[in-house]
Amino acid sequence: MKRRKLIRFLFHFVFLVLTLAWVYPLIWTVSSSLKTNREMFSGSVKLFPDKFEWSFLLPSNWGQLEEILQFDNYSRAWYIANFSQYFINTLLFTFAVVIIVITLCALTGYVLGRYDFPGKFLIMGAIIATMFIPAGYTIIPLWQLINALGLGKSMAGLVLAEAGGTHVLYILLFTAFFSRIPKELEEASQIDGAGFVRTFFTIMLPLAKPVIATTFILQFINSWNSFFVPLVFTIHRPDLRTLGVGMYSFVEDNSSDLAAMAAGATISFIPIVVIFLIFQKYFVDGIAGSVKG
Amino acid sequence: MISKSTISEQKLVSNELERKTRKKSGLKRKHYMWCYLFLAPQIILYLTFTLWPIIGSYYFAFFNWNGIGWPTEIVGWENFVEVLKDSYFWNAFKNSFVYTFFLVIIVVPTSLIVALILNSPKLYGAAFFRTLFFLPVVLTMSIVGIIMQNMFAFEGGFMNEILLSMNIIDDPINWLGGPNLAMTSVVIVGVWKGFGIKVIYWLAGLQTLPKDIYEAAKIDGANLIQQFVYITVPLLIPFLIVITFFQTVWAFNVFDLVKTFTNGGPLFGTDMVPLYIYRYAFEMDGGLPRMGFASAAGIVYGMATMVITLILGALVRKYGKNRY
Amino acid sequence: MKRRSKIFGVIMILFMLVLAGCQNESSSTEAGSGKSEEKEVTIKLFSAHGQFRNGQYGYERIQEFMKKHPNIKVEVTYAHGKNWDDTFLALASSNELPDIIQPTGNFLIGDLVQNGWVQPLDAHFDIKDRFPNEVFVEGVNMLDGKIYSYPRISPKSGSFMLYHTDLMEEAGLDPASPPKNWDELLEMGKQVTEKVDGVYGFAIPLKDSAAAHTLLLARTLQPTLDGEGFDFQKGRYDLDSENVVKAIEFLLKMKDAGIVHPNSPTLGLLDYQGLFANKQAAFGFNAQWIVRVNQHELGGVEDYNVAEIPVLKEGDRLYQGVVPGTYDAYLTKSTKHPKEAAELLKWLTSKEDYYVGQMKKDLLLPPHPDLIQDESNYSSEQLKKMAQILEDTVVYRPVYESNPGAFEAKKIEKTMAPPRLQLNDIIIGAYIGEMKDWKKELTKLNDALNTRLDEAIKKAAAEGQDVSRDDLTFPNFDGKSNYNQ
Repeated sequence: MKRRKLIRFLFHFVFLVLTLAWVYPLIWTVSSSLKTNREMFSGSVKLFPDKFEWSFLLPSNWGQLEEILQFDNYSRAWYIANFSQYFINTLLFTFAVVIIVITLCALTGYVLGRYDFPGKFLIMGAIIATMFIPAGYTIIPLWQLINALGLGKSMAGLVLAEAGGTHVLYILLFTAFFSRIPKELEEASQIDGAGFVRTFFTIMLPLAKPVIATTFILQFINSWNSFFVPLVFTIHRPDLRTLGVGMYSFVEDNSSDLAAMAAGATISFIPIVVIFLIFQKYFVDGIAGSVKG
Repeated sequence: MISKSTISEQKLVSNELERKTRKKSGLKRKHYMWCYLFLAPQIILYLTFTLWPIIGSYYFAFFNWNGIGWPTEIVGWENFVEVLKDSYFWNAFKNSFVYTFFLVIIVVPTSLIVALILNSPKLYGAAFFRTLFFLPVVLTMSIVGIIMQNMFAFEGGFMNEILLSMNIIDDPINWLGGPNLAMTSVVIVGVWKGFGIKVIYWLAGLQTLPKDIYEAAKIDGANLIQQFVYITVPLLIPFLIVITFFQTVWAFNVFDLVKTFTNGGPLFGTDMVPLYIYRYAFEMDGGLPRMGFASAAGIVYGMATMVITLILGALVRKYGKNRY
Repeated sequence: MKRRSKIFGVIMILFMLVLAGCQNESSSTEAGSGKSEEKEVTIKLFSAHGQFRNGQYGYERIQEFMKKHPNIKVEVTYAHGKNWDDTFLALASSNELPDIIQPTGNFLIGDLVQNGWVQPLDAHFDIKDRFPNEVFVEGVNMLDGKIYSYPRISPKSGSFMLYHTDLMEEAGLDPASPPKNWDELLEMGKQVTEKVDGVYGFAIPLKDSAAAHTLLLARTLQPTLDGEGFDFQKGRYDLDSENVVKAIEFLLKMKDAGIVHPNSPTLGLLDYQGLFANKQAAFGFNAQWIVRVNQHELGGVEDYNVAEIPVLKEGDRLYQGVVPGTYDAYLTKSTKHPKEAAELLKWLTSKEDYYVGQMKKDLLLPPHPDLIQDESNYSSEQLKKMAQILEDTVVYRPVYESNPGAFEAKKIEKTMAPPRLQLNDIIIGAYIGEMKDWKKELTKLNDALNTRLDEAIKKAAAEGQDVSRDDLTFPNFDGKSNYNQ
């Protein structure tokens, strides 16, 4: 019995070390963002700055800690390398995309899940078919289209390009959810005199909160991390770049400033990690739902 | 007389009926209207942002076009012929398949093992471990690529330091210095980045397993390994196919990672088709972009990957049906 | 607990937003406070040069200019390399060009004038009197006798070997005598690699500069070659010459001796500068602006010096052919405030207000020989040594740019698709051992480049230009002395 306990303890220990190694690149990034460039080039694996001593962690010694930590890296990244601009762009871009996607998919999913009408199968089929049609290089016509709309050099164009596609997974999630709501609810609201639109907004949409939350978090992470569309659409507009693209161009321009790079990466990571930790449940549900459904 | 009244009565009834149906179909028409109105934004965006780009990409593939203005110089199948004859395309094609193959055979089984561990009631802090495994998934791929350049550096990189300190290797490895090792590195990072999501898939699968079968098996004297082989595995096959499907599609379209991690180098050793196409469309070193050619390459690649996707898709549908 | 973490997240994001907002706000209040009696004019300057980046010398000088001219507000935007090119084209296509541009090397005077983007400077101020006469060269910064631009940096520029004196000392070598030839470089590199822990003898940024750095070695043997492998004497590309082969073989020899920093295949020029500044290698090549970069962008690198690029045998030397003039800022045609923009350009071309400070503080040599000769202008030993080497080894090459036909042909050549496998790829391939027959590939590449040039000449001729290969061939040029027609 005792041996079993020991094995179990050992197993937990090994598993913990393994998982910590798993997230080491993240820890490394944060710790590097507080080091000097010289330290990073010579022995970048160490977690703490060279001059660090454990005693610095005592509250009375925080002054010393402040001295050796290079918060300057953050101000270089934030002000000089334009991460402030990238950060705002990413927030705007992400929220705009998420709102458009949720609205679109909720409307579509509601109608497809609850009503019969001519052409329903055609629409359903067309949506699902997009998953399987081999496309050529669609970014080129998309780029043409956005330019033809006169949005080629604006955040609106960037948002449309990202949000405009067909989001099959979310549509299916909404469709499945709405089709499961009992008919009685709807009839009751009709007896109260609510029309099609009011039923949707006052009865149905509030019920769909879990699906909305799932769509929100999945799309939020997707858009925050989006790289290809922003890369192509901001080739001519550095001031519209999002964090992912901004980081890439920063490294192309300044790759000798590794410490500011790490600070920039940390700035990009923290919000998405926080959002993930908050909404973790919905996220996991959404992903699990996509594989079960 | 009688007949007359009957006729008028009949008329009345039919009028009544007519009115009723008219009212009903009016209602129905009204609700159709609302349905279409709700669908309108999606349909408009579908036609413009999904369908048109697909059609457009086929159309442009037949032109020699630098992306400025509207294409005029039609060249027929020339772009396709050039793609098929280009050894660099086939190199990128091979790399894409190698990458996908290794990603699938590594991730699918190992993520199952981790899921089994996380699913075990004997594990404390499963939620904590799950979160840690999942963290890489939410990170921006382009930034991961940049950080990994440092992790895989020959001098002072994490990979070498940790392997050296554990005595797994005697001399540091030049991870990004040669084509094969660079491909290995890209695979390692690809595995790391997408691993968490597959763990969640498997966990979802494991939670659907009926507990009573295991009880029965235990009573019949089946040990853990027997239970796994004869109960768990067969029940998980539908999930296996779905997960393989997702992983394959994901790996075929890898762009951000190779663009920022190796940029296809060294010497085209990690060049993959999405990156190859991008170069022709947006990064013609000195020369003008070749949008038509890029489109043709995209179609050829799309066709090839579709075959695999369709096979997996068919399997998904088949096993998906059997499940319920 | 959950709610608290949610609130925390929201506060975090709000906090970052406020931070981001603060910056914008502060810049907008700055703009507001500049109001004066005179009508305020805003001049936009779009630069591709690090000197005009936030906080650097050029940027500081412009702040100074604004203090002296309260009615002129200057907005400086900086972008690097390809970013600059792309942004510029976008601005040009939507008629939103800034007032003054400082382009990358990819935009030549011919394009800028032909497209109607820029206008002559001599119509606005005494640009001609501000520089020695020789810096104005037709086809470089002059067109049809009109001056469009001027040099910011001395036209006499070139590349060097950098070495860390402290690392040499640590390896038991005399820092006063750095390697002069290839054998010494190999030997001393070995010593450093063996004796100094974690440091390598040599480093080279193969990822983007394999060709440029290897050609430096080749050019010590063949002075008529330029930085892209074009031989002015022969009038053709000469990438498969025995000299280029020898240079590549020497690079491989260094690699086999284990003295080249193993990160080299993945190093870009900027990574390389960082690595070198942080003393991971003892010897390496770079161009003259590295003194400035080391001082201002890499946090003050110490204990290093410069020397000429090592040669194969005695009597060889790296001569570097340049054009006697260069270009920097242009005044755009669409500017609405030419008077104020000219005022700024006067400031930027002033010896006292700009060039002396550039040399002393920003460690970049100005286009004025008298300033370069004045000992009191040097605040850096390395820069002084560099200036001496440049004086001794830089020669003026033939200026084909002044010939409209040759100029047009070269321009067309640049728009044609380059061969897939470029010199950089071949050298990397040879270096990592993945390309056994790299000599054959060199010949293939060289043929392709010459064919491409021929086609470009044909196209130019078809456009009505009077041009042939002869316009790019200069048999009298020996590469070691100034070219005279």
